[in-house]
Amino acid sequence: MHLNYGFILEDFPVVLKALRVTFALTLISYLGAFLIACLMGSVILHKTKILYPILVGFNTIVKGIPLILQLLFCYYGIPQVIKAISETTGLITYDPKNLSYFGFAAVAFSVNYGAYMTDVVVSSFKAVDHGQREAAASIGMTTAQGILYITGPQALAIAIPGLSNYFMWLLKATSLASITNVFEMLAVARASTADNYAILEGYIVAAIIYWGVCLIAESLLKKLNQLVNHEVKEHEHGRTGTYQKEAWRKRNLKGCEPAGE
Amino acid sequence: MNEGEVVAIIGPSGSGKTTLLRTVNFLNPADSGAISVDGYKVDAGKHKHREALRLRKKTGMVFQGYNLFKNRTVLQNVTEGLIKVQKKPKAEAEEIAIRLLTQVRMDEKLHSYPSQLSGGQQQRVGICRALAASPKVVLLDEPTSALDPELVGEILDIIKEIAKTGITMLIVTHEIAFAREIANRVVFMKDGVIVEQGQAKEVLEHPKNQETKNFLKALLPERSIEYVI
Amino acid sequence: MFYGQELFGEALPILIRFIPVTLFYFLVPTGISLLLGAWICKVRVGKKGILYRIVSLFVSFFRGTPGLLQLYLVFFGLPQIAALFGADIYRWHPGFFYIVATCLNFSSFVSEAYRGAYEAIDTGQVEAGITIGFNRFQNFIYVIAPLTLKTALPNLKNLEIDLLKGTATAYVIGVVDVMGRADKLVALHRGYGQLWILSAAGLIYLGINIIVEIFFRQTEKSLRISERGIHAS
Repeated sequence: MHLNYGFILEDFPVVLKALRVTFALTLISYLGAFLIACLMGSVILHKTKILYPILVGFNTIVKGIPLILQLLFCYYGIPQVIKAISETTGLITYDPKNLSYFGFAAVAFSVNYGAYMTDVVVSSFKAVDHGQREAAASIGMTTAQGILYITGPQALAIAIPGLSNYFMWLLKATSLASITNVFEMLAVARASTADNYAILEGYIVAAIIYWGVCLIAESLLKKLNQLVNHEVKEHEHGRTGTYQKEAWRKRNLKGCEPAGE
Repeated sequence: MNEGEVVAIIGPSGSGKTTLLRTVNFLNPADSGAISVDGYKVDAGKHKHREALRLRKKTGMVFQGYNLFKNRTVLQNVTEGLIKVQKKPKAEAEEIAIRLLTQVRMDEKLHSYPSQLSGGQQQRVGICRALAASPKVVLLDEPTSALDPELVGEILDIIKEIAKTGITMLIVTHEIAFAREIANRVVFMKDGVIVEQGQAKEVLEHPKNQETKNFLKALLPERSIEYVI
Repeated sequence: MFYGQELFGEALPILIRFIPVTLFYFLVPTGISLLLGAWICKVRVGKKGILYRIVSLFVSFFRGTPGLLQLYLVFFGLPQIAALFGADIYRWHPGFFYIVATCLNFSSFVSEAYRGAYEAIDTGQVEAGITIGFNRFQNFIYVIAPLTLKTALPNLKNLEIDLLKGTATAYVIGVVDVMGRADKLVALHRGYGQLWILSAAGLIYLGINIIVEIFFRQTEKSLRISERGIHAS
């Protein structure tokens, strides 16, 4: 297969430069999504009268439409909103030549992932032992204090595996922003091959970088989870299911069968 | 209740004893009436959250399931309320906490987390946490029901010690012999109503109500073997 | 911004006619991946051998790189690989490449879902199968496979819904499904009423989604009946 290996090597630093854009987009969108998830989560947990059904409906819509569609929606839609606001109130200036495509993409990602992460937040809070909240109340803590010092931290620890998962997904999803004029890694990889037709080589470079980054991120997040949740043991070699344990025993302890039924 | 009095609430499961206990510190809502602790009165039917909180600061609670703060060490569990709610400085809070924890022989485990402790150890910490802020009333919700039998005795002993110091206590319990030993008054509940109440010796040894008699007859024969007074 | 409402009404019937196309690109990869994923899972559970290492690498790659990138890689790369064998597939329908890329991607995730469920199986059930005389093959069909599927169902449901929404990215390599047609409409109208056209597409996806969700809920319910016993709802 005659790949342009020379180009692959040359292209690496070019695409790597865009890694910071990918990271920036991921981190900013993630923060936004987390904020949205906490806000929506508190409404859902509290079942606030009017907001609750609106949010549930909104979440269903956001989760039911493809992300790429939402990206395009923000890409076309937000500039028009800015234009409308600047024309009616003059608070913001609408400069069609200087639109922040990065920002539009971040908004789309934040809203989409926020909707999904809301489920994680809500279920983590529900998974905290009820007695914890009661104990906090019994010593006179206000609701806010209880959440801040006791329930919140415990919910966060429970949420880490789920939240880490979404971080990884978001990291990969930022590649969709290449469609909406954001110069993150995939877009740069494609653009770098504009004049030499080594399109496949460009994508191979991007793939290697994404793969590497994801592997590193995944192991870091796993360490974070183990740090926070002390009871989590390594599941890597899958010997924890009872079926597996038995099978392993049968395979490895032939001849040392303990006396048993 | 009078100051220094120990009242035990007994009755079959589902009789509402725990619910009654938990209305005192507003963990369970009451429809009407008023709870008053140390002269501070809160209307049960209609009150602000702030008022209930003020009342809670004067009470302490020991839970059946211990409910120690999982993300805090033993020492921090006891000082949490002192620092965050009673607004005491850290040094003072720790002094109080260590004194209490030493009395229950948990001074070796100050920096352990609840997940590393046995049930009995956790309950001992729970008792210290309840006593830390010098509450006017201590509420105990079946403090030994979740413990292995061999650990029940030491918790009961600790509670007896506390009773001797003159703290007002309201205990929901299944341990009738224990109730007979430390309670001044006993309240018997069934199906959500108070069926009989009065001086401990009266209710437990000479119950007037038939339901009370039935209940005690079913329970006492076993226990009196373990707790020969 | 609010100009172009009429395009919503115009676009909707046009896009609805492309629903079967979207469904095609949803169901075909589903069918293939559920089986391919099972095979991958079997290899991964073995935990040794060259095949295990190759397959694990492959799974790691498809889970560690973006789907869009994989699509491009297959679209540009597969023809070159085929050329090595003398085949010219450069002009094949883009949908073919989409299905290949999606199957490779999706079966990796499916295999992980199966693997998690498989490793959590309760020994007792398996032993019961052996005690009533099942051989390994029968035990697999009647005991292991159903249990694995049941446990994996929630994960599979989420993966499927992601797959459905993922079909929308196929248009970048030229596939004309609901999204592809919507993209063409947007280009056709040169920026007028884009939001309305996209909203029409969104509505359609929402509709399909709801139907798929209902399907899964029914499946979960009918599987639950086996757990409830006498009190089956």
